[in-house]
Amino acid sequence: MNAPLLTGAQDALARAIESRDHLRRSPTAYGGTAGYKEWYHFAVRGPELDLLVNFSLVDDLTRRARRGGELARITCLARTEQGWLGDVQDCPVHRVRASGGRVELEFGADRVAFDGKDYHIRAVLRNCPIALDLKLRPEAFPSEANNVDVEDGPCINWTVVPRLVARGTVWIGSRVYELVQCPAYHDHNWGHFRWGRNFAWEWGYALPNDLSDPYNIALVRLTDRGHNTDLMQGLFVWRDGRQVRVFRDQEVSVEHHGLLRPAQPFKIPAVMGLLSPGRVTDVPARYVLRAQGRGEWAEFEFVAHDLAQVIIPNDDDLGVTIINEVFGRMRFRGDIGGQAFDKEGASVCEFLGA
Amino acid sequence: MNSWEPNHTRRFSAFLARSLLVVQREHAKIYRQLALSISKLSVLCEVDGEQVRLVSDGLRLHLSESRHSTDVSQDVILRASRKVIRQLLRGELTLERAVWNDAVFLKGELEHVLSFYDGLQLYFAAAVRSPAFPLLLREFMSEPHTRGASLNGHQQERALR
Repeated sequence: MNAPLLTGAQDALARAIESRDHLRRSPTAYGGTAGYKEWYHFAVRGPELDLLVNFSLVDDLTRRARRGGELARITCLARTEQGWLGDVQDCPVHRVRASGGRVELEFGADRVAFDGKDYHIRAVLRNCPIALDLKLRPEAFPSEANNVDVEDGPCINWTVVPRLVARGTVWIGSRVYELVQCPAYHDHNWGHFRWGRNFAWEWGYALPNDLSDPYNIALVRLTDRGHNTDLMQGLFVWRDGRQVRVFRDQEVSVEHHGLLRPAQPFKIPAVMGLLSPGRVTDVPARYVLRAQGRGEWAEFEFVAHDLAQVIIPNDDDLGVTIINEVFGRMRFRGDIGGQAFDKEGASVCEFLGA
Repeated sequence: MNSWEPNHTRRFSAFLARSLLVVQREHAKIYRQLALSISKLSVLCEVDGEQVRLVSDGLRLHLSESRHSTDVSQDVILRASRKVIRQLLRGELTLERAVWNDAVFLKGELEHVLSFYDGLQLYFAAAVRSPAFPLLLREFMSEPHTRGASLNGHQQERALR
């Protein structure tokens, strides 16, 4: 068993999470602006399993919805040697309990909560043979980015807990995966942004295979929908659970090389494949992010292998937004604070496309 | 309002009528676009041998039973089975592949087929945004399990403990 990175700092870490990762909640029921979205996202990398779980709560803007009504969904994607499996599952709103100001969200028996030590996530999909019951212990201080502008709409807010250690059980089909100490990632988004508006993002993280390795990173790049104009970009580097460097905007440059051409992308919800049947993606086959400033540098290189698509109807037109969840291998190297590093491993990047 | 109302909920024509009604009620703008996109077309849908004729006057869609339709009187003919439609809904088959494999049979002049396809996309776009559609779909699928098996009772119980 590896020693936690933040020995002696657990109380501070818990306070940081409770103060930054709590549910903000929609203001709509109290007369605020409608169209609010909020979600908790988790990614877990097991020895034979990659898992993405997302609990989202968005304002219900459908025609007959009452003001303040919400739609609750769990999006779950699992990647094993048998391939992809996943679904998007709705939860009736009367079964939703969302505790604003706390990290506590229940969709019936499915839930996300933070108890001061661990995140607990539990979900059972009805129409897809996936269930999970996991505890994730944070091993890095969270980072929060508020009021990130998009080109033509309300801003996005983001909290990231970039490094956790997961344990628990995942059931997929007839197989049971007992996770003991697996690297994991978590983020939390909220705001009034509208699907289909003039923005796209590239996002990724890298976690070490060896949990005693002190480094991990997260990266984000927000562009217009055509990927022609950068709106913001950053590379966030943690060492021993603490953020040691943020490269921003002018310090960062990004290159896309080639295009990933999956034979037939796995799509959820499956029915959305009728509206977005294509095999063509605008996901780069190779993605390189270079950062340099104040005598320090870092480079993240990601080679895409495989992807699944979460397809979302646009809010203001009849098109769709495609969230490409891309799995691949990464190399991350650099020199920060006089300490050189060079890491390789598995990684997940997310590319938002039209 | 659709001019034809179902009297048997298990029939495809009944599902189609109810779903168009949902589109009209919940997404009136898309419904109007849909009616416009296939206006002046006569579309014969045949699912497991059951025929229903769909026409549009440019403002509204009208369904009628079509027991004795002949191919020559239709601008577009669509033939499929419930099994194939379910496979499409589950993502086990793409529409493109289904057409290539003749699992979905489409016949008509190119211009008419393209207009029909535009209409079909509008119908899907409304369906995925409609709060009432999931229930309709569940009824249509009406199978206890979709896309392989769900976890069995024992597994679910374990997962929830």
